Amino acid sequence: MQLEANLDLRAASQLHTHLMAARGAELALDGSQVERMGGLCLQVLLAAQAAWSAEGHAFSIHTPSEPLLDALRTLGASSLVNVEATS
Amino acid sequence: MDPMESIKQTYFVECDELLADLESGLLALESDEGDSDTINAVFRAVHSVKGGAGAFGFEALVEFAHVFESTLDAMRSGTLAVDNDNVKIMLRAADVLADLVQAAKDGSSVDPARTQTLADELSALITPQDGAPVTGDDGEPAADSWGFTPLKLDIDEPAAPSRWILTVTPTPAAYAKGHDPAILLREVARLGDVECWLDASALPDLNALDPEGSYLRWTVFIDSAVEETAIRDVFDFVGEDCPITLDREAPADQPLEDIAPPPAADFDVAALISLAQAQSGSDPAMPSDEPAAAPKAADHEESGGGREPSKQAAAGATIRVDLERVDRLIDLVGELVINQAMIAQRVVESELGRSSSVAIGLDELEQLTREIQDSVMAIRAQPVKSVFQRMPRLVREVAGMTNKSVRLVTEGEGTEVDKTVIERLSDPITHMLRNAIDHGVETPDERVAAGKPAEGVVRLSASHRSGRIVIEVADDGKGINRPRVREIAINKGVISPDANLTDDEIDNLIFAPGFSTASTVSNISGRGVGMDVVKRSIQALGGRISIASVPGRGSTFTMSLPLTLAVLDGMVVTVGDQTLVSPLTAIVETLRPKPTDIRLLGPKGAVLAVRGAHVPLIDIGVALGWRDEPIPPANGVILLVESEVGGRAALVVDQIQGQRQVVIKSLEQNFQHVDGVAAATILGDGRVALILDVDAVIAARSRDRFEPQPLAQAS
Repeated sequence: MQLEANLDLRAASQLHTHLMAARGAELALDGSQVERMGGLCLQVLLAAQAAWSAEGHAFSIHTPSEPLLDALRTLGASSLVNVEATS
Repeated sequence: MDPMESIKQTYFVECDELLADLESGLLALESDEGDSDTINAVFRAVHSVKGGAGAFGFEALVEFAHVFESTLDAMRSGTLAVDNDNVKIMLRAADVLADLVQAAKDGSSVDPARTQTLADELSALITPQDGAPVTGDDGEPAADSWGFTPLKLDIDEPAAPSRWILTVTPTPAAYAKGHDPAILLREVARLGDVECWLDASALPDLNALDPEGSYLRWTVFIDSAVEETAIRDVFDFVGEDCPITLDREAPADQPLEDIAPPPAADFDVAALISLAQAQSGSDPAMPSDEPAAAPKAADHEESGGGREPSKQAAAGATIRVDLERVDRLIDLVGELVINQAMIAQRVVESELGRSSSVAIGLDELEQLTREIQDSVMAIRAQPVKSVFQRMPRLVREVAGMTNKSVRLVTEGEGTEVDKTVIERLSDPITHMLRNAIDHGVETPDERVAAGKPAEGVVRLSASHRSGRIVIEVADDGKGINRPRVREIAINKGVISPDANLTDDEIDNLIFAPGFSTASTVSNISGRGVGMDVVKRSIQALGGRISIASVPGRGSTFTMSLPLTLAVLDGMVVTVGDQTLVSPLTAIVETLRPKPTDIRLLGPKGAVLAVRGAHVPLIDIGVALGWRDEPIPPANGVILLVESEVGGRAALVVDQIQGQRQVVIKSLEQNFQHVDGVAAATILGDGRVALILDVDAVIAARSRDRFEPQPLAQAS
């Protein structure tokens, strides 16, 4: 599943819907196209990561774009991609 | 008014100010006068417009403002060059933003294609540089194309003592208004070394998560060298939507909840003082680079930073007052002036004498009334900036449509004038500017051929001159084509073919009704509105307009207007059994004519010899229809008046009563327009007196002069 380029406030609701629909299975998100990300989408992604991990499924964001990594660093949430990103 | 609606109105009022700041900031950048503060101010303006728009659900506005803001952010972080081309796009974007605000305000529609085009242009400015790390001008290491500064996240690094601890707890409103923590924290990161900790403990299960709720909070440790004000400034305009706390870091062994100034010997003294002052909330004499820091800090200590207090502390305290209340006050003061005049009249009638205590008390009252009146008028006085700032856009658009290159220079924007006048300045200035660009300034090719720079300059200036406001629109174009103006005037029967006119008189012909010299009726000036309409609207304001033109060098339109429409200094005169007021500004001098100075012309006409020149005599009683036969001029008094069109004239009245300040009562509002009468007033004895419209009286007389001609030819 590809993450949208613009993960700002208006994208949060849609991202939430998409993720809810993808529950119950392993999920790999492609972060290569992300150009910006705000706090609302971060919330959704963090909650999703928690949900997937609670259900024992793998959740990863691979090939994060530089802007995405920067946004995560700025928001102190690098852990969201750190583990799987480099693999 | 419904409370939401009134908040909305306040928002739109603020928007007007913000858009003005935006435009003036961008113009400063365009002319290389801006610095990083200007860019910040511009960014803040767009951001605040977006914030409010988000709160009211103006989707289109939020969307566009968001793109605009992102581009400005790139400019702010130094990744987008502040060059002329970029600023020009931003100026056009500011126009679109203004349109969108207007659309949100009155429900009108905006061309979505135009909005989209500019949004794309804005986005294009920041996308191509994606990925390439660049170094900002300020030597900041490796700020990337999105303006992020990589953060240190090494937990094991020993924390320096007395770092700042900032907690950021955004509310859902913060997100809704576009105050994304991602942007705010990036700003903070820009200040110096930071360590950012995310607290996601309040995050609910994905099922229960509201995508637009707010669950995250952040704790940021910031380098001790960063100024407190710098940190607070980041959150300055977010206000209560995103509460923050800011403290100095406690020694490592102390729990975060129990933060107190550490007693360590090597503790930063300045920081200690500033913290103490922030807590006591007093003493602006803080040993800091910014004197405003202490009171600002105190203001923000509890609320977490509101935008208004700090801004107002800098700009001087202001309040917003409903215009209706001010108008009511001005009305009442007007009544007070009339009442005071009435009492004065009674005292004179009672023959108490000038030195009686009543008369002296009355003199003091009169002075006081004048002062109150001046002060009240000052409340409504506003700088003409609010009108001038709309003009750069107009010039851009008109220049674009006519394929001319024009630069607008404005001067004297701070000149103050009554709000009622300001509102009515916009149309004449708009038309004069259009006219200057369309008819005055040549095309770039023509200009170069004439040895001028390709870019034309139109100068718009305002100044105070002898109790009036003078507004000039000057272009450096080709000037008035006098032979052509004369030819058209003859063709249209405005003047007779053998009329001997001075250059000035020819220039002023363009104010004649229905006059247009453009050989093709253009989209810009040919909307059925001629300079005659401009002139009439200015006259309706008690103003005058004139033109000076030098062929090949350009034209200057000058209009002078009264500073207020509420009071007038007038000469009170008697005509027949009526009392009239003539505006003092129109009167050059008053005199009693010698019979030898009066020459009769034809059955009715007469002229008066004044200092070697002859001026037409106009009997006011006849002009206004109060009597059929003029009184012998030698029996009356002459008011020598000057108008911009008809030159000088000698108005014959029966008697002069004196000079007085009168309160203007509109005739149009209370009755209807009457030719030759500008307005009315109430005199001290309670009677209504008409205020003479000098220009109209002279113009009517000039018409009479020309009208008999066809008859004479026919006979």
